[in-house]
Amino acid sequence: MIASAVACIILFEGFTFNMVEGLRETTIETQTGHLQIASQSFWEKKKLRPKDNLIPNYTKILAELNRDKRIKYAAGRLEFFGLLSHGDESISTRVTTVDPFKERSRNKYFNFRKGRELSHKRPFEVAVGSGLAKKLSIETGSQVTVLTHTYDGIVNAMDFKVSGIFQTDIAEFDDNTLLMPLKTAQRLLDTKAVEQIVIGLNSSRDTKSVMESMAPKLSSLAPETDIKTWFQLATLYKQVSMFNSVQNTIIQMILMTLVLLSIANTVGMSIMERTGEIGTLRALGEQRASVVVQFLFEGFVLGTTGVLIGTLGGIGLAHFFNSLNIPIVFPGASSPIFIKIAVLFSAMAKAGISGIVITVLAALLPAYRSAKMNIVQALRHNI
Amino acid sequence: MIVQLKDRVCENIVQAVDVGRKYSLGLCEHQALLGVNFNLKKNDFAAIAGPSGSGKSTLLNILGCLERPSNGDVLIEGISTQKFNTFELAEFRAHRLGFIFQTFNLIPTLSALENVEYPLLLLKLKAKDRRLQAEEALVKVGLEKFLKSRPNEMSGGQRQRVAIARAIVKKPVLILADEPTANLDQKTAREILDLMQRLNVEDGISVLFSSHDGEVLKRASSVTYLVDGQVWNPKERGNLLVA
Repeated sequence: MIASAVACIILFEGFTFNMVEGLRETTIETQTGHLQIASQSFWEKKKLRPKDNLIPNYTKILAELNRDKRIKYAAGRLEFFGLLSHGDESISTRVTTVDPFKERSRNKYFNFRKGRELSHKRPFEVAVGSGLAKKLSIETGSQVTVLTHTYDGIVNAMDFKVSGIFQTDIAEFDDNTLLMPLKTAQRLLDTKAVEQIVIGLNSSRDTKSVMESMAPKLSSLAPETDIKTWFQLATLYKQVSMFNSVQNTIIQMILMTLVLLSIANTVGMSIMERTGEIGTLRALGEQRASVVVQFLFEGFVLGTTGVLIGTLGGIGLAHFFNSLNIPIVFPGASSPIFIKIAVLFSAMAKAGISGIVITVLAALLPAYRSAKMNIVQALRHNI
Repeated sequence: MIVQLKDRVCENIVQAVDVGRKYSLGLCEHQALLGVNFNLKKNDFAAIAGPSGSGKSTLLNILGCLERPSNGDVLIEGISTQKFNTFELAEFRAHRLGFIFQTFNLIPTLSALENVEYPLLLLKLKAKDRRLQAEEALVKVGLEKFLKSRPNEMSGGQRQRVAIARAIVKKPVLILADEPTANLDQKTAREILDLMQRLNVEDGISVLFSSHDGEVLKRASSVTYLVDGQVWNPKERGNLLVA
């Protein structure tokens, strides 16, 4: 029972960890970046005129950012809605920009299923999400038109060639999004500014330290702007992460309750069977506390053995499941991914410690009862 | 407390002073012992006799500090046990008393040697000393060839010899034996009694045992009869045929 519970916890934690980690990386690389800089009004969505949200001097900020070696890329970004037309069909689309030169490293996360990624050498090419392409029957090489308003409210439109069709792990993103080179979008919107500056880091662990080092520089370069981390912006990630955390805790509590009841029953039975033995030991002069300690020690040995077997079993099963490449489609995902279970030391430690503690706790009450047993009555149980 | 007793020289090993014991059985109360006065002198080989339900085992349990009397006091080597707490009583049993039970009560998972070693473990002796003393005790009871045997590999007589070795190994002042021969055939019972008597004489250990077997009682240097929880005195209460 202990071994099964420990193995289950290791597998479940490893599975959800990989899922949440994958979602985090996809969210950061395809949407939020590690850090984003934008005006206060952009974050607070207070201004009705989008033009007021623009950062005109973003190139100065980019130059400052590019000095930091922890930063992999920093690029301006515009995001707007427009009408995407292909043939006779049109649909409202979210357009997000990329800087094809600076943000090359992001391409692998877009997972281009057809065609090729955007290039600064081909400014009039766009990439379309797989869901969106399906809705408008768009293929690579298709001609599409994007119609939108400039920041001054004038209607503007441009024709593009579809260079590729991408598919991230987030279905909602793939169903609505069109990627456009930043310079082209600036031309379409008739602006030289950007709404946001997106920063990608070499390591997610540097997020906080980069933010802290950038904050004072920003206050002098662009005092109206504010910097936010990916975690503050990734709503879906936060919801999934929180859900998994609660779910894991509930599953662990159920498993550990079962372990508690099962061990209490096992130790209780063992004490029943050994009532005569306990009576004899107490008659010979064994102290009550020693009897309790003996049964607690038995519980500890039982727990430790179970934890060791469970840990080895969990590691073995994790490798076994990883080798099977079982496909699974998560809610909100656009394509199946293969089940990958991370073997986490933290999960092993958590399952191991709680397994041993629960086993010892389970043995506590029966052990205490055995020690309080009337010696004469206990002796009447024949050995 | 144990240190105080260790070198104590006292004529009376154990004394029961007006000991009574009441048990609650649901709403009823059963008086198992009533006003029992009893003395056991040093080096005695004494018996408590009486029919079933007369209170022999209860008296032995109280004298062995396995349970407390409802009233009265038990003095061991002149010291009252009334105020001993559970810890002190256990410590007292571990150091000063040896027990032999009717059903042997050996630990089934331990060998004969380990069973005999166990009381010495409670006295916190070194492993080497424990082993030596346990081997000596088993040799004394004639089980030198059965050191490694488990209880289920031995006969009833051999098991009782292991129990005797376990009782004598810590050199107690008193051995309490509750019907030690009741589960044995007559020949083996005689051998066990011979052994107990020999240990009483050679090692100077006082022995108090209970029995209702006339043949066994003949071996005792003194016999105290119990009837309905009271000491039977033939002068005061007339004749009684003990089975």
